[in-house]
Amino acid sequence: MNLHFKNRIALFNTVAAAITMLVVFAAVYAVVYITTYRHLDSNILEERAELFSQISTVGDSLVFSLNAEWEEMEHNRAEVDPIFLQMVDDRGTVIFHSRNLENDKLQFADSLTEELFFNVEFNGKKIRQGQFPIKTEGGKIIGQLDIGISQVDSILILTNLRNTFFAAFPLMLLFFYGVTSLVASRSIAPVKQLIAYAEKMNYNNIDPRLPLPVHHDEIYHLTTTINALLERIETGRSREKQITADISHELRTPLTSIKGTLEVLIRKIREPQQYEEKVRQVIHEVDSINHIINQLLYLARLDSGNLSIVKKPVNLYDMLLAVKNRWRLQMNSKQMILKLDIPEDTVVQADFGLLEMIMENLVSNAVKYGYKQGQLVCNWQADTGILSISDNGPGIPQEHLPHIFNRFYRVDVPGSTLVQSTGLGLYIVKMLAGIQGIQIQADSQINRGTQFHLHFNG
Amino acid sequence: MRILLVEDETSISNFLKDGLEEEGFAVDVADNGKTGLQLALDNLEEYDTIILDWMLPGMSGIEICRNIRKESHVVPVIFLTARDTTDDAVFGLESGANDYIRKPFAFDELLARIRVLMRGKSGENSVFRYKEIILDVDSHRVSKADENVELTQKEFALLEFLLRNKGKVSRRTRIIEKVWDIHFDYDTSVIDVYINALRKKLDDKNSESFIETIRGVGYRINEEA
Repeated sequence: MNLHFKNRIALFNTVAAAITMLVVFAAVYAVVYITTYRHLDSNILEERAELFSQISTVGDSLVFSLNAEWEEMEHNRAEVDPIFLQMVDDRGTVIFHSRNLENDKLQFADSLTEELFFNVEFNGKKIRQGQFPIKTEGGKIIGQLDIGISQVDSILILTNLRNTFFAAFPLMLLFFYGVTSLVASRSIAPVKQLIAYAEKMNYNNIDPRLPLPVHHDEIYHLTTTINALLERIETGRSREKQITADISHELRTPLTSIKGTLEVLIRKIREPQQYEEKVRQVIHEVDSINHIINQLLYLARLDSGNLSIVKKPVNLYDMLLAVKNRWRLQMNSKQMILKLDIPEDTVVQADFGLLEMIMENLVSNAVKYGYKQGQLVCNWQADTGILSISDNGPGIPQEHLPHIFNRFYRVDVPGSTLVQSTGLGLYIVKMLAGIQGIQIQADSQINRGTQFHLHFNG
Repeated sequence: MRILLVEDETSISNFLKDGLEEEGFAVDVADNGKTGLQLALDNLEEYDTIILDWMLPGMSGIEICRNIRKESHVVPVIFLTARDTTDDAVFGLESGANDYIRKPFAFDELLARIRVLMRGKSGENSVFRYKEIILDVDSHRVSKADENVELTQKEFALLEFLLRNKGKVSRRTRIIEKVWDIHFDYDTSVIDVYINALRKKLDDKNSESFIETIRGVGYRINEEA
């Protein structure tokens, strides 16, 4: 059922209250009922005691004297709380009845041994009747005494009680429902406010934070929790925005170069070697686009934990030579040198693709950030199994050094020859090294250069 | 017509320099912000357009532009950028740039925009005449008596410069500054070679050359009588 919160609370409360009220009423009614009938019964017993005091038995014969008691008004009249009396002998013959009975008879039992109380209808009126055996001194039952008392008063009390309750019950429930609903509505108000605020937000607009309620209650807690969540979403979103912008920037540079180079190339007829030179440049740019896309793929796979590694012997020298060749153009334009201080037969156990990505990233960083005429050295120490890639570039400030492998971390040093980067390159290096058991560590000194050490035996 | 190009990606500055030079511009390239600003401030009078990459090592294109604007409001500045939001465009233009082109761009579009800006700067139209000779900067054509005349880029640039300064003497050093780029070694005798070539292609037979030599100073194309 699609009920509002306040209505649901009010309904539950009302049902609970209704059940409680019914139980209480039933108890009260029962108490009153029992009390009134006991009262009637005790009246009957009083009457019986008075009457029995005037009855005596002689042998099997009953002796009683008619005196004022038997002729009391209440026994003669039928109106207003009469008391009916009747005496029956053991043969079932009425031997006496009070005048108000006229020609009617009270109900009597043929063989009564114990005294008995019951309700019965008499002349259309409800009466309480007591039947009492009349015994001889020897204990023989020679007749019975029937005393009837009108129940009008008791029934009136009980009926009033019942009517009052039945009239009050729905009113009270209605009132109760209203009050609960109001209270629930007031206590749900901060939640409604939250909903209203939250509804105004969408993916592009989560800037406003929810207003905090005055009381430090659960709603307050909920609000601060939601605000913290929004904060996290926003951080993630701005990071996502930033990375999208950075990646698009990184992709646009080679694309611009490809487009421009080709456009200029076809503006007129050229010599064959010019075509060849430009096409080579374009191929290089396509490679760099491919590299960026590979980075993104590795990142996605790292994120999804979907990266499988196949360790095989890899010739480190050949790999670095290939990387060097890919970066030849850039290095030439900055007059940089890459020295391979590695025996040509150096072999390590690693995943080829992942290791290549590591080398590619480290070399590309050194080339991008390095000074003109800078030098890059790849050194292999066979005894320790450490490959060091050192540059003499601008270096990384000490305070940044512990963070450079963090995702999205960028060292923005004013005045340095820093190139736009996504802050993903070294993170990818660290992750790719980690999953194939290669430890990586960086040292750096400002204006002296940076060294990355890869521990293959680690 | 001389252009300063400040762009750190050599792959981009290379093709821009090649392409613009083929169109007859002299192009100086700076690959970082500081050098770029230095070149711009040192040669403000010489540059007819400055092309700035937005994101540069050392100093951003925006900063360079603001610094240039402190010194000159005349020289047109075009931004090249990989950023692509409207906010970025507004920000770039508010820093004093005249135009804004997004990477990757079509070379022809950049060229057209440069020409529009230069026209705006000199307050002239893009067509220059001397008698029957017509030079159209936009279409990069020269014709004489409605016949197309093929000129090399340097010949074109030289003729354009002389026509722009019609009636005035163009000094040899000024010609070098405007038509050749900064790496040229200031041997002004190269000008004579191109002047001769222009005369050969455009002079009327058996009459005086339309380019007057002012000995020891430079050259001049006179106003028509």
